[in-house]
Amino acid sequence: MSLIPGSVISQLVDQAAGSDPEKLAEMEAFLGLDRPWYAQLGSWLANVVQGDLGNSWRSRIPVADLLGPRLMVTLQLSAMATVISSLVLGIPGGLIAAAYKSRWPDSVVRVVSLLALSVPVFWMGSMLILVFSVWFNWSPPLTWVSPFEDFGANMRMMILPAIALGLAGAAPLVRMTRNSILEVMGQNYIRTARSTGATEGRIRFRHALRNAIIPVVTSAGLQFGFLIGGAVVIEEVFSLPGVGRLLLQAISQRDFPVVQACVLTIGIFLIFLNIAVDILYAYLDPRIKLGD
Amino acid sequence: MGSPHRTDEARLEPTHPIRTRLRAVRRVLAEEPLLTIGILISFIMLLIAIFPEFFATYDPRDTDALAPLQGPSTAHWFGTDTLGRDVYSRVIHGTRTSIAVSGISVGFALLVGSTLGLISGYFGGFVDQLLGRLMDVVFSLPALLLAVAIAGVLGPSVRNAIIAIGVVYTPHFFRVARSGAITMSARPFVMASRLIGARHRRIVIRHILPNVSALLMVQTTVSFAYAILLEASLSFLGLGVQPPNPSWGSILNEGRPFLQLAGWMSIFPGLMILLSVLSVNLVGDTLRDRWDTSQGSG
Amino acid sequence: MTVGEILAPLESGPPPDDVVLDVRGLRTQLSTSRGANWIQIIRDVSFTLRRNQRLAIVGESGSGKSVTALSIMRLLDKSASEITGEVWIGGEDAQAMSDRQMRRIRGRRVAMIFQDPMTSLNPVKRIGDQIVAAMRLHSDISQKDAMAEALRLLKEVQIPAPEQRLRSYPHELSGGMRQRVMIALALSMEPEVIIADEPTTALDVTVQAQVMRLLKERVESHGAATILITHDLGLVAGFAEFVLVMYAGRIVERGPIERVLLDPAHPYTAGLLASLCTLDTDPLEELPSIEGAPPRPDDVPSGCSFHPRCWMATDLCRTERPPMVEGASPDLGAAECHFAWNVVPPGAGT
Repeated sequence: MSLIPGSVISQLVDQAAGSDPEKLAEMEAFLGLDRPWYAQLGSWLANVVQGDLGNSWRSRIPVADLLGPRLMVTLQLSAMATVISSLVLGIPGGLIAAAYKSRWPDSVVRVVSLLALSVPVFWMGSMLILVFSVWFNWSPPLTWVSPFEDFGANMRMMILPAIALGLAGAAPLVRMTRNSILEVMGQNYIRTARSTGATEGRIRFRHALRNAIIPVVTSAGLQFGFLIGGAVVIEEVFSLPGVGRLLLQAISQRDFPVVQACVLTIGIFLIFLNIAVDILYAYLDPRIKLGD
Repeated sequence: MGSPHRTDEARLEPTHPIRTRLRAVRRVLAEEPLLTIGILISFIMLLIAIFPEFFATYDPRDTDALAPLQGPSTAHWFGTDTLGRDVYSRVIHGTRTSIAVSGISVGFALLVGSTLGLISGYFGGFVDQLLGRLMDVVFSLPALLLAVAIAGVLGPSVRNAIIAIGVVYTPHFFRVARSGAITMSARPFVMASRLIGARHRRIVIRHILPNVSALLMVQTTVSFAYAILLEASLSFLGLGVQPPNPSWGSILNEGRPFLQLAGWMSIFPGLMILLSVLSVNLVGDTLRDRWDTSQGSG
Repeated sequence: MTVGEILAPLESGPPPDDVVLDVRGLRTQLSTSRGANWIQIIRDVSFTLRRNQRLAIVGESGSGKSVTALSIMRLLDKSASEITGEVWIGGEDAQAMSDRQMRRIRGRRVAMIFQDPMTSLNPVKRIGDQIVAAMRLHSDISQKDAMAEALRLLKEVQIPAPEQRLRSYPHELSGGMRQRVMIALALSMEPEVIIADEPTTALDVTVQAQVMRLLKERVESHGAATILITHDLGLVAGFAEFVLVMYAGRIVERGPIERVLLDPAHPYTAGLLASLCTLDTDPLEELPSIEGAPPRPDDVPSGCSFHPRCWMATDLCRTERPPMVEGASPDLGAAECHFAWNVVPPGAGT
């Protein structure tokens, strides 16, 4: 950690007492920074295992208290973006592309999803703000409202960032849905369904979709995790008090317990997300039994 | 799809392998208009990155106190920023930085990732276990979050942004190289080379690497597109290229406080990113499609 | 009514009421690469199926049996197939029907049982639900009544613990059980015709016999006419009343089962019979089999398409397509061979 330019000590001390070397050493000892890096890391890990994420160097507030409410914002944002990228964009887009395979709607869907994949998430956010501020005189709110307090107000501030984020996540799901549907439509049980006189629509929605959706749901679940990454920058654009902004703020203040805690918390969340996706998979596919 | 054409061509002109190849390439380009567009735009982007002076109309650092925050006009195609600098020329000059940073990062990831992947897949055992787990951890974290954390902890600079992006994409190459090495190691000719006592390094470089290089190339293209986006995000957040040096992300960073006041400072650099990433994605997507079909799994 | 009448295709217009399926001059082309590279798979197939009849279509793989069935049902990919000829089902030509009309034919009038029971049932739907869904496509029966009917059908096809099986997913059943479910599914729509395409190929030999016996019983009790498609003449012997032998997309012999098995009129049929294992076969002796393989559909020989493999072939066979030669009595059927009705078994010395 000696690599880091402008350590927290010099920042804190600059503000407090000038550059008195005695004060500096005292402060270092207080924060445990006089020990070698592996000792610091070790004691941090030991505390984390006991459920103690430490205190912010800056504000002295326990990191867990800082993180809790902000995690909710980030998770809500990512969840909304996941719904938009899968249910609103990805799956319908993939269904259209598959239904018109190798004809013009297929190409249009492909080009549009490549476009969505190529747009920087934060820029999409900026453009949405620009468009909405010019046309509807809308601007990102200054204070955040919890959905439990005022659902409508919460939605009004969350929907645009969620759309910007959801667009970025849609392209892989479009592709996955399309290929999955096409693969399933070639299966023998689809031919069986046709031989019973079922209509094409019924075959597509009752027989094919139910099978094709299984891998799509899995990857949409995993996409959730990657959208959390995109949330970091979208929160900054839309001034939402989520983990991303906390992380950026902590970085600029060199408040490392907070940085570590942010990455660790999201990492742990992703592990649980993976487990949840596995459970969902087993629920959707009767051939898979948990514990096998 | 490509192979029957190739045999046709080969039959027609057996004595001109280069011309035959050129013909095959031309035929592929004719079949895939999106690939052609992608290659064309990529090529123009490359030209801009190499000869920015040729394309720029002003010096990107020239300030003009008399003409700040001017909208797009014939004099300033993309308008001017707060200091009266020409946004178009800054975007043009930013191309070099953005492409260089992304390119070096992906090169770093390619080199480190595929080397470790080849070693891991070829030797297996404890090394494989250790490297595999480590890469899984890096792989499972969201790319942007990880890059922000690394660049943030190391401190905002171009060098650290390159390290951050490189680290994020290393596992992608690791995975491709490792699975390729595992598959190839089981092939009879590789086992035979081992039996006759060829040195490991020679086997890996002569026999295994050439067989995974196509997949690595596809991965490079795909990762390059993402790396441009990642670099832009980092610089936008102030963790990459630092102002006043222009890169697409850092110009967007400067334009951000003036979004509603001077939208052109945000619109044009973003379009440039979109265009360049799209062109690389068009190439990558087509390559992947073709590769997948030839593997029979598309 | 004579057998000859039964087997000879009718000339034109709707067939009599007791004819449930009348195929006239069916020809099918398939495209190997989307709209290009057309290959003639079925070359002029005609036959008539009357109420309650059990017919078998026999031939090696690649002879066009399955494509015949899929052409009748119009289940081939439209953009990659071209069907001509007439298929009369229930007094109407199915080839001239709209897709909508055709859907009402499928399942309700002609149901199919497919070859591979492992993949022919939807893996994420319960057995009962799949049968009920098929039933309710064609009648106004309530969900509850349909489920009761499905249960009755599972009992009928002798599935143990039918109440539980109704709620099972296909992967929880063995191959034989799944094929019973397929039979129940076909019966549930009360069709006039059931086409069983190699229904037992994927099953163990012991299970094969059970399933065939069951299929025969069930189609008899439900009064459905049946077409059994198989490469196995042994299977045909215990099941069918009439046989069509297919080779390279054409019917080369047709006739009642006893006559075809005892006195084959076409060398190809004789060859198939000779390769069958019977109780009299010396287990140590190699069974005679027809040399070579059926021709690729895009490379069918001139003249009689069987001549390269035929031990009786002459120059005539190489150049001229043989006519369909009727037997001494129309009851005996017909064969498409220059030497029809005078066949020497293979390996009998020429």
